[in-house]
Amino acid sequence: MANKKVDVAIVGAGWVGGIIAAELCKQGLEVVAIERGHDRSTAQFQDDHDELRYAIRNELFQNTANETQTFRHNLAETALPIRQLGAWLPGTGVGGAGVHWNGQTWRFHPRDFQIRTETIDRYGASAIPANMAIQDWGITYDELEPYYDKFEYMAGIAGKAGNLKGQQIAGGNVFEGPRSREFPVKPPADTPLMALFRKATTSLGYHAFTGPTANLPTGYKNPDGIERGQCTYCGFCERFGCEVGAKADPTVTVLPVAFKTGKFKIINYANAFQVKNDGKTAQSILYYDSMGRVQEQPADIIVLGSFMFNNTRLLLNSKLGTPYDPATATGVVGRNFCYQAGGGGASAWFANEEFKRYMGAGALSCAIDDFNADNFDHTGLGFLGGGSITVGASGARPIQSLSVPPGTPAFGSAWKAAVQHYYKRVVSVGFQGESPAYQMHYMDLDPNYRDKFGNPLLRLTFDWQPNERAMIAFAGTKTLGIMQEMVPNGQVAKGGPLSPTSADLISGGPGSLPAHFDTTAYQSTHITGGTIMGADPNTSVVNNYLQMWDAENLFVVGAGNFPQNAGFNPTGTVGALAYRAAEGILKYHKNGGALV
Amino acid sequence: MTDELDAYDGQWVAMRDGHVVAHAEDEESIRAHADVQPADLVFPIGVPPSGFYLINV
Repeated sequence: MANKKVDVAIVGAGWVGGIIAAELCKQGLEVVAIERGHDRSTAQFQDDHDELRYAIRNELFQNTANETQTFRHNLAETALPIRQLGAWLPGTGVGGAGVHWNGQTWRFHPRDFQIRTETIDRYGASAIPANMAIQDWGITYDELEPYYDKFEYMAGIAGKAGNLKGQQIAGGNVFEGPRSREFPVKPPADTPLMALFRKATTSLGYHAFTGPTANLPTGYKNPDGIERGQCTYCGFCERFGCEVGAKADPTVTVLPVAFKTGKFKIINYANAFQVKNDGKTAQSILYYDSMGRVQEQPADIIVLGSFMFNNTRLLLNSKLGTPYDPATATGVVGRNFCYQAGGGGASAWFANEEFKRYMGAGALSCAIDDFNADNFDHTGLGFLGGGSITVGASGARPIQSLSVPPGTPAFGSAWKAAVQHYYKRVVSVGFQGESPAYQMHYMDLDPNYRDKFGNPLLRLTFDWQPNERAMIAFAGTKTLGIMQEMVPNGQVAKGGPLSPTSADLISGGPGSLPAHFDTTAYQSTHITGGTIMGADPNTSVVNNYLQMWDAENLFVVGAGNFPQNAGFNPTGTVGALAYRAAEGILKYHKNGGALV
Repeated sequence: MTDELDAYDGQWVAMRDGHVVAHAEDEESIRAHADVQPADLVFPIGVPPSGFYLINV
C-alpha cells in the first residue's frame, strides 16, 4: 500500500532537498524527503577528528558495494565498475555532500551562463573545437543573482564584494558579476600564508581577494532566525561534518526551518529507484525501504534533488525523457557529463619558515580570478576556458597532508625526517579548471552491471581532451610564477627530482594530465551534467525553473543542471538553482502548466 | 576522438586536429621540432607534479 499522498516528494535531503523543503513548508505545503542514508547532526561530529574513519574509510560517502558507477574512456571500451571511491566522493545521508564539503561558495561568471554565445562573439565559431558541446544555460547571471543572494544570506557566506551593482571594488573579486548587496558576513582575516599569496599576486599585477566561505568567522543569525557560532579552525572540514555548526550545511540551516513548520518528514534508509509516471506526469517515487521492500510515495509534485549521478539514473530507469545518443548528439538525458581539471598547481617546501598548517577551515583561502573563464584574452593560446587559482589554509590532517619534496625516499628514516621537517613548511598553490562539454562525454545505463537491487548501474564515458591539457599546461606556468614570487630564493625543479637540502624548494611548471582520466586518485567531487538546463527541449532536460520539459510536475535540481562546468566550486550555484526551483514549484503548485 | 596518448607518458606532445604530430622530452625540444607549427597544441602528458594535493570537496 502506498504512503499518504503529499504535496511534494523529494529524492534526497541535501542542499537541494533542504532548501526546497524549507521554502515550500514555509508556504504551507506538505513535503516528504526520501533519503537513502542516516540522519546527521552536529552532535555526531563533536571531538570526532578520526581521519581514518571519515577521510580514508569514507564514513559519509556512498558505499560502492551497494551502488556505484561503471566507467570507460571512450565508446569503444567496455565500462568496468568503480569498486572503490577515488576520483570523487558522492555523499550519502541527511545533508548529503553539504555535510562534508569545505564551504567554498562561489558565483559563476556572467560569461559562464552564456558561454557559447560569448565565445563566438569574441573569438568566432571556429574557435570552438568540432566535438566541444558547450551551450548556454537558458538563464543569465542577472536572472540568477537574486537566488545567489538568497543562498548566501541563508548560509551566512563571508567575503568581500568585488562588484556591487556594477561598480568594481578593489579587494574583492573584480571579475565577478554584479552583486545586489554586500556579503552577509565580513571575510576572515588573512593567515600568514594567505598574506604571502596576496602580496605575491598583487606584486605580479593580479587581483587577490579572500575566497568566499561558508565557515563562519563570526556568529551569524540568518533571515530564517537560525543562529550559528564561529569557526574554531580545527581543520577538519573536508570529508567531515562540522563539530560546532560553524560550517553551513543543510542540517544546521534549512532542514531545521522545514521541520519547525510541522509540514516536513524525512524517510531514512529509503533508496529511490524509479519515478512512476505515465509518460507525461510523475505520480510517485518508488523506493526500497530498510528491509528491501518496495514502497511508494505519491505526490502532486516530485523533485529529484539527489546527487547528479542519481538524478540522471532515476530518469533513465524511469524511462522519463529521451536518453542521449552520442553518435548523433540527439536526446537529452545523460548529456554533457563534465568534471573539473586540476593538475596545474605548484608546491614549495620551505627550509625554515613555518606555517601553522594544522589550523584552518575548509574554505579559508586567498584567490585570484585573473586566469579563470574568459577573464583573459585567449587569442593565440589554443584553448578555451580557465580556472581559479587559490592558496588554502584548510588545515593539515595527520594522514593525508604529509608532503615531502620530489626525490625524498618513499620510506625509512630519511622519509620520516622529511615528513617531520616539512609538515609545517609545505605550501601549495592550486588550480581548479573548467571542464567543457563534449559530444562523446555522457552517461547512460550500463548494459552489463547492476546494483544490489538488480537495477542497471550508471555508465560514465569521459576522458581528458586536448583543450584541457593545453589549459592545464598554461595554468602551471602561472602558479609556478606565483610560487616563485612567494619564495624568491626557491630552487625550482627542472626535469629531475629535487634533493632535500637546506634551501627552499619549489615544484611546478607547465601542468599535465595523465594519458587517460584516472578514476582511482581523488581529484574533485565537482561532477556535472546529465540533466542539463536550457532554453531548448531538444538540447536540455529542464527549463530555467528546473522543471522537466517532458513532465511538468517533475523538477530535477542540482549540479546535473550545469551544461558544462566552470572553474569554481559548484555549491553556490546549486543553492541558487534550488531557490529558483522552489519559486517555480510554488508557481506550478498554484497555477499548473509549463513555467517557461 | 584523439590519438592514444599512453605511449607519450612523461613526454611533451604537439597535437593538431586531435592527432600527435610530434613528441619530445621537454618543452624546448617540442617547440623547436621541425614538424610543429605555431598553432599546434603543445603540452606534457603524465601525472601532476609531486607534492600537489587538491582539497576540494
